[in-house]
Amino acid sequence: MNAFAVFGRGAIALLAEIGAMSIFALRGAFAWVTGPFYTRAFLSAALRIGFNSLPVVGLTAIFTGAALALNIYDGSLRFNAETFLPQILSVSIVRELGPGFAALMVAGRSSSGMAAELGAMRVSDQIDAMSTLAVDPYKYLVAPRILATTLMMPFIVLAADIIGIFGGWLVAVFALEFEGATYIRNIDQFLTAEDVGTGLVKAAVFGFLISVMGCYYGYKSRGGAQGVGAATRSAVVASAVAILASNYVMTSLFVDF
Amino acid sequence: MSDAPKIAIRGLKKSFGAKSVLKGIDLDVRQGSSLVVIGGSGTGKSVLLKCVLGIIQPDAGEILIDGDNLLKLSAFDRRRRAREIGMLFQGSALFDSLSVWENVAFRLIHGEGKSRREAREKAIECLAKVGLAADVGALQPAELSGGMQKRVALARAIAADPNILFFDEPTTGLDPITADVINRLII
Repeated sequence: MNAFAVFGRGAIALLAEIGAMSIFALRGAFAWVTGPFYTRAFLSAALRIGFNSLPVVGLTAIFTGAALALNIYDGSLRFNAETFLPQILSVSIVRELGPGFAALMVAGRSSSGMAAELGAMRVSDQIDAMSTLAVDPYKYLVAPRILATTLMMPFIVLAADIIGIFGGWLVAVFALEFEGATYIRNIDQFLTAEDVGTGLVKAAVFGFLISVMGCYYGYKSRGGAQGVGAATRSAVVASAVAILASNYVMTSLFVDF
Repeated sequence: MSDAPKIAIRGLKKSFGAKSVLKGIDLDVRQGSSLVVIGGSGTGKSVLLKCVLGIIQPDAGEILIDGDNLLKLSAFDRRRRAREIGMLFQGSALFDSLSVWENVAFRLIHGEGKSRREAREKAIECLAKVGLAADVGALQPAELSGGMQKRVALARAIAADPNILFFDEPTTGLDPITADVINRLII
């Protein structure tokens, strides 16, 4: 078999998939602009994606903050820099771990949910039925989910940042004998608005990517229950890869050397 | 009444890969008449309907409704045209996240901008037309039997008083008695 032909076919298929996904994302993200805007569908998606994700994101954040505090303390002891624990922990959480972990948890929870929901609607003709009822599925199903996830993710990440820093504070104060008020003051003096802001910008981008992947794979799914299962799996994997890849790109843009 | 057909299909072709499903279909349907398309499984009956509904894009041919070629209309005009058409899907295709009355009123609320109260009244009226009581409106589609789901789907199809009604195997999977009830409702 010709290796070039195999590689070429794979590359063309990948580019075609990225192209189709980009067109879908643009169509879905801007479908609401020409109206109508389905407020009820948007609020329902915002509640499910935003508010209902808080418990799992909060749990992840508190344990991440706690484990990070132990690791930073242990590592910085080697060069007597353990007093910098609050500063290192807070900047790590708001810039990287808060947005990253929250996005991965929301991807696992919501991107898969969107793919399964839209996939089930696709294979049972519900999306086709919607078109015949003079309602554009992009406006009713896709746009509210993309908009809600993009807008809610910064709030989720802000909560994850606060809970993650609190998890580190708990370990620092009760296990590592830091003074609680000094710990908070150090963070307050060190952390800048830019640190938090870049994390929130990342959150919005992650939200957009998560919802596009979930909606795209669900909307395009075919072939009954097996197709819905494959769509769900693809949505979660593609979301995770997109989060990690875009995180690197954004970090390299935000960091000043 | 004009002699021009309400629906005219000319030379409609559709293939999926190497498999040619529609090979140049021509047919006319006059205003006020019914047409039944009969054929074995996989012979393209549903594909023909989906082409007319705009769900599948045909490879060639024309689909004219009142003389307008649907395939040449803009997306906006096509959606406007869709308001004249009601469709009963083979598997009912009810929205399982909505209650029965919300399913029936879906087009009225989201497609025509009617208030929920007004749309609910119309939905209950349509449910009565297909022999379902008002309290069924509060149930979820999953709580209904197959025959009741078909009735709800029929109520949804007629809710906006369409000029054209399509049925894709409306009695598939139903017992003979329920199928007879659905057939009588359609007629």
